[in-house]
Amino acid sequence: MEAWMGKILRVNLSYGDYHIEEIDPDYLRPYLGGRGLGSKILYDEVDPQVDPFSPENKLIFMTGPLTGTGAPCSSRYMVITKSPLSGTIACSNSGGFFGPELKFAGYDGIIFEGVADEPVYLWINDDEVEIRSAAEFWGKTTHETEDFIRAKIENKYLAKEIRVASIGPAGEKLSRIACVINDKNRAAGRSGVGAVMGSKKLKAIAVRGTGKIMLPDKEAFHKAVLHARDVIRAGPVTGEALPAYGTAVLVNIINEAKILPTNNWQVTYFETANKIAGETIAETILKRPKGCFACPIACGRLTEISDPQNTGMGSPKYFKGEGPEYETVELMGASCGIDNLAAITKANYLCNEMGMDTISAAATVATAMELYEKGYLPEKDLGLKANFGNADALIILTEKMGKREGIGDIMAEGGYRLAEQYGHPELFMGVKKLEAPAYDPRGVQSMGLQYATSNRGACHVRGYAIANEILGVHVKTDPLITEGKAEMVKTFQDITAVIDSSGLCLFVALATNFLYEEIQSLINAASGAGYTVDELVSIGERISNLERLFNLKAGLTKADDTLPKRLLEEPGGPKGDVCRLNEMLPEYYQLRGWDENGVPTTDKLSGLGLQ
Amino acid sequence: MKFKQYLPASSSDGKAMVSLKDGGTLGDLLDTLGIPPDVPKLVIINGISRGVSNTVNAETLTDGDVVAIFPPSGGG
Repeated sequence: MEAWMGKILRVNLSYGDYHIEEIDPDYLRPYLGGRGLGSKILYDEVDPQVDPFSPENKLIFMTGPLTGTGAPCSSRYMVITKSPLSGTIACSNSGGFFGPELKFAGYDGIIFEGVADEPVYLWINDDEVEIRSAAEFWGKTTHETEDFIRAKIENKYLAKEIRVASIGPAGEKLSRIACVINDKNRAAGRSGVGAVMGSKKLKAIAVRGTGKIMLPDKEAFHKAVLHARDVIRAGPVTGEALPAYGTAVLVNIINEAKILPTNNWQVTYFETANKIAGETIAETILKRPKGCFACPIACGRLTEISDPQNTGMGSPKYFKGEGPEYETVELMGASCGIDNLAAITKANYLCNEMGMDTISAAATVATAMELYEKGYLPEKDLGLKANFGNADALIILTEKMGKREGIGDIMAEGGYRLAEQYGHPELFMGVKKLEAPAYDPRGVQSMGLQYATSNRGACHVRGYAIANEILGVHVKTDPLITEGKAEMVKTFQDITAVIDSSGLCLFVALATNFLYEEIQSLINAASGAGYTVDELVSIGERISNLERLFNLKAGLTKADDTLPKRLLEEPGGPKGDVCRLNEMLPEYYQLRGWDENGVPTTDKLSGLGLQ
Repeated sequence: MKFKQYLPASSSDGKAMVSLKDGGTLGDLLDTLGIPPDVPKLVIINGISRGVSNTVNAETLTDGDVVAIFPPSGGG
């Protein structure tokens, strides 16, 4: 069990107690860790029809075997639960330093059960585990929460060394788009996992670990790490583009490819996109790049805005933070018709502080703007004129959403429920009630299939086909055709499940040729487990199918594997096309070994050991 | 930042009009701008992302084509 710590902390918040469980290696091996192991535990222990906010839902924090090992980009932990936003299985992934610290404390993961009577936080200092009152800082932002926990610790060295994951007011108030924030600005963003944490009255987890991750052969591991690092550094995207400009370098590219969602996806090109692009961020608000644990890429952007109009909460004059990332700057920007970078950055900071997913929050504002402009959502309900391009409206609505004030109360339920409340669910741009990220599939067909079939709804980090379709990272494909895309999407989805389970950041796959062999070499060098590439490929497929089974049991059907009407019927993209999902979906089901209703066949399930 | 050195003086906001001889190719455009052929990592012509290759470089451009040329880029 080297690389894994072999232990999981199971915390029952209703009883206020915990115990430590050993992980059965035979249970673990077919799921690898992280997303795979967490999903398996959720599938085995939670009825998929459970109310996500009920005590019976569980909230699982899980690392992978490579998390914290020092392998390049080995910072990740995942939060697995049933999503209150989509009703699907949720697995939200974050970097920073929290995940590695949890492993240094001796645990691969934590399972939270039940609901606390009063607000609490979990304190972990190696073997010392305690459920402590969070009454004093319930209601505070994520930043205030972290500062508060540190300030309470007498030992100043320890106070500096702990790592904190917490929810803000959005999670406490059960906003379905609430996230978990760790290290102040890294987010397990999607699917509303922060709201499940809030429903359990769990404000935060503070962890300090001083232990070591055991490695079977340090020299072999060191060699594998150096090799992987060289591959990442040699990749044009991971070695040059992301370090220099962060993810927002995509803005101009996606705009030139005419797939940049603009004004809630009514158009796909934004005239002033350059004002919000990574290049402009680098020239204006960027202080320095910031990396997560053991990351040679450092795509994070430590930024600063000084305009008093556009600072975050808490300080009237001056504010620093992280972001905006590509998805954030695009959806708060072009999709809201806004090219004011300082205002977008402020809205981003607000989301981090209040604990809200920036993608869902931004997309919900864009939906509100279209509802307003079309006369479906009246000014008296909004409290302001929310026309596209109105940067003040973005900031005010973001804050209202985080606090559930006024119109923010329904917006905190996410874009689908907002659009439905005002009679126009077709203006919600997402799938399975999860707001879509910032690539219009009318000009990149595979992403339409990806959004429609991803097990958590419209999502880019469950199969980042953009890497080949637009960027040509591994091979360059034609984004406008549907041929071959079912297979491409399946391949991307399955390898992503493996990366997410390993504890590596998905961005390793943006290094040219960083594929199964590289992952295999790192995992085996760290663990001595001797995984074959075929076994890893099966693990990816097994996880995709397990998640699908959870969703089917939760009540989702083939009818949920679809896209917003706008993308299927209104022409867009560089050639005025629609997304031709119907040309790809049946082939995708077939390749997956699913029947025409998208249900995995008995043969497929028994082949994967899921029967 | 370095990539911007290839922009003609007449450019604004990263965009410029460039005249080519009749039948001019993408390769000719790169020549005109002084961009070594191995420097661009992504070329988008009229909204269609094309990657980079000798074949793409040999393609004839027509009047009014919009060509976007990028150094290594990407990642969302």
